[in-house]
Amino acid sequence: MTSIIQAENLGRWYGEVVGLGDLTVEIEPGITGLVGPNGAGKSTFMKLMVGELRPARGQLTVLGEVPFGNRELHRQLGFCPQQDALYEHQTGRQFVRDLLRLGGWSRREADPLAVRAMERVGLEEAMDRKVNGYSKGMRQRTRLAQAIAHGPKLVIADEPLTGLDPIARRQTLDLFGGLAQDGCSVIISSHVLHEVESLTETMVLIHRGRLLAQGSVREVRRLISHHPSRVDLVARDPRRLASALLPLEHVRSIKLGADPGSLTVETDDIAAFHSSFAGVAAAAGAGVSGLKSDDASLEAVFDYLVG
Amino acid sequence: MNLISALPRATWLIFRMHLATTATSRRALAGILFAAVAPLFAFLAVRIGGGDDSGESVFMYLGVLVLLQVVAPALGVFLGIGAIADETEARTITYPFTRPIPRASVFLGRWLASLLVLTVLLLSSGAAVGAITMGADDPPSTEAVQTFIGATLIAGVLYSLGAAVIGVIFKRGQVIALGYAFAFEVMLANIPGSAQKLSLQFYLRSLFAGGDSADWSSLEIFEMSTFLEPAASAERLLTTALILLVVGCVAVTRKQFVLSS
Repeated sequence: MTSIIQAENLGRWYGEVVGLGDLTVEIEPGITGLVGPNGAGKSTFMKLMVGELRPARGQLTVLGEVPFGNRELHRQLGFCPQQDALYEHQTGRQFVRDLLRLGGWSRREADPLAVRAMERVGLEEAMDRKVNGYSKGMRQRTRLAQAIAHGPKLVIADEPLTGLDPIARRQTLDLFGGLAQDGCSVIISSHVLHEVESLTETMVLIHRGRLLAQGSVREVRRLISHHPSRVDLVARDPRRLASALLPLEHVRSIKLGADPGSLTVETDDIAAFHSSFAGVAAAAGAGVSGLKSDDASLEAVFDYLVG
Repeated sequence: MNLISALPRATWLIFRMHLATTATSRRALAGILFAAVAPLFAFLAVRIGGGDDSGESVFMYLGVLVLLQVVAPALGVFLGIGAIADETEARTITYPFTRPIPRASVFLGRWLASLLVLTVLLLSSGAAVGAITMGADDPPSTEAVQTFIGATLIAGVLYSLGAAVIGVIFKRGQVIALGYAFAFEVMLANIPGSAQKLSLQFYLRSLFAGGDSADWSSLEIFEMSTFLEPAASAERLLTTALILLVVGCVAVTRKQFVLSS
């Protein structure tokens, strides 16, 4: 299968700040999740893919073409940027239609395509309202509409699920699924693993501007399962609570915190910890007054994976 | 569609997309107030000033010192600088730049929208000053008014184009453009000697005060100047405008605009 994206030793700096370090990756057609914590280089990679930026070093081809200033490539690309920016004086329909016209469509052709795109993102009722009155989620969907309206071969969406309510999130995921069924490749970035997980098996994990892992969700999950979960506790007698928890098989370590009564437990099995904790804590009589479970955020996982 | 045929179409579309926004922008609204300054001064000088000065001299002084040397550069900078800078600031430049259009069309379309608004403002201001002073004793000739307004409009083209180019190249272009227009230009244009030829003002003044336009030589600030023939001056201004256009188009085509998320 021919790769749609080929990056070799790709690097991009913003002055002294590294946006992308040394990324070598190939992405196949279909839906691909580009996952990494904030600041990993996802947006920089996407801006390089759509030709908004030029690499400082390395090679990048998208659909076999060098992206920067490539008008032929832009015909085949749809880009949904992360930044919440629209032409505020326009309606959603005008916004999508005018951008279609820049793509070469006549006014007569562009209008029905714009309407169709707004319908696909669920904004048919709001499309004739000015975008400056849209909610954050509606603005996000409008950005998505302009990315798909011209029927591109490849849609690149930077954090497209941010700001969407659960229903809109589901609709958007379905939309990406539909695009893929129509033969369109989709690359979406996210810093929330389970968002992407529900959409695709294929993931590219980047961290600090480098490729960390690439493959199926299962493989990534396997890496994550080795990552211990953290639970922050507050108790009247933290030492007694620590003594009671330490014998549990799944508890890896316990650290007493600097704040009075605080302690942090690292466990290999968060589910087992939660099921046994209440009984152990009650028996110890340590007076537990607070419990906060580590959210297994990608940042934590990545920190763990990169040591 | 090749570059040559794609450029005019995309420029026209960008121009249309942004004309209404430019005309109703805060920059344009501030421009209306600024454009009203010269007619207001003309009215005060002619109607309230006691009639000591002839309409012609009021027109000449206000025209050169206010309209050409202050209003045209100020409006040119305020409206021209926004051509690309506003789109970068609003972070919307991603949309046209990821479309199959020449990047230069974004620069040209947006600058032309600014220029149309600027032209209307300068034309209104110049015509109002002309009309007020022509109603006074010893009025300026219609030909002098027309020639001067023409020069003011050309000033608008050059200052707005220069500011638009600066806005593409520099991040805080407005400061640089204003510094150029009101420090560098004003100083060079008003000191005696050949240094005047380094300023746009010299060539703009030559359009109406050069050749056999004897009336303008009565202005004190023109006493030490030897202007070019209007045709030669127009040629230099046209060349400057073409160079600025090319620089602007090349710069916007090559530049990477880093937007915050």
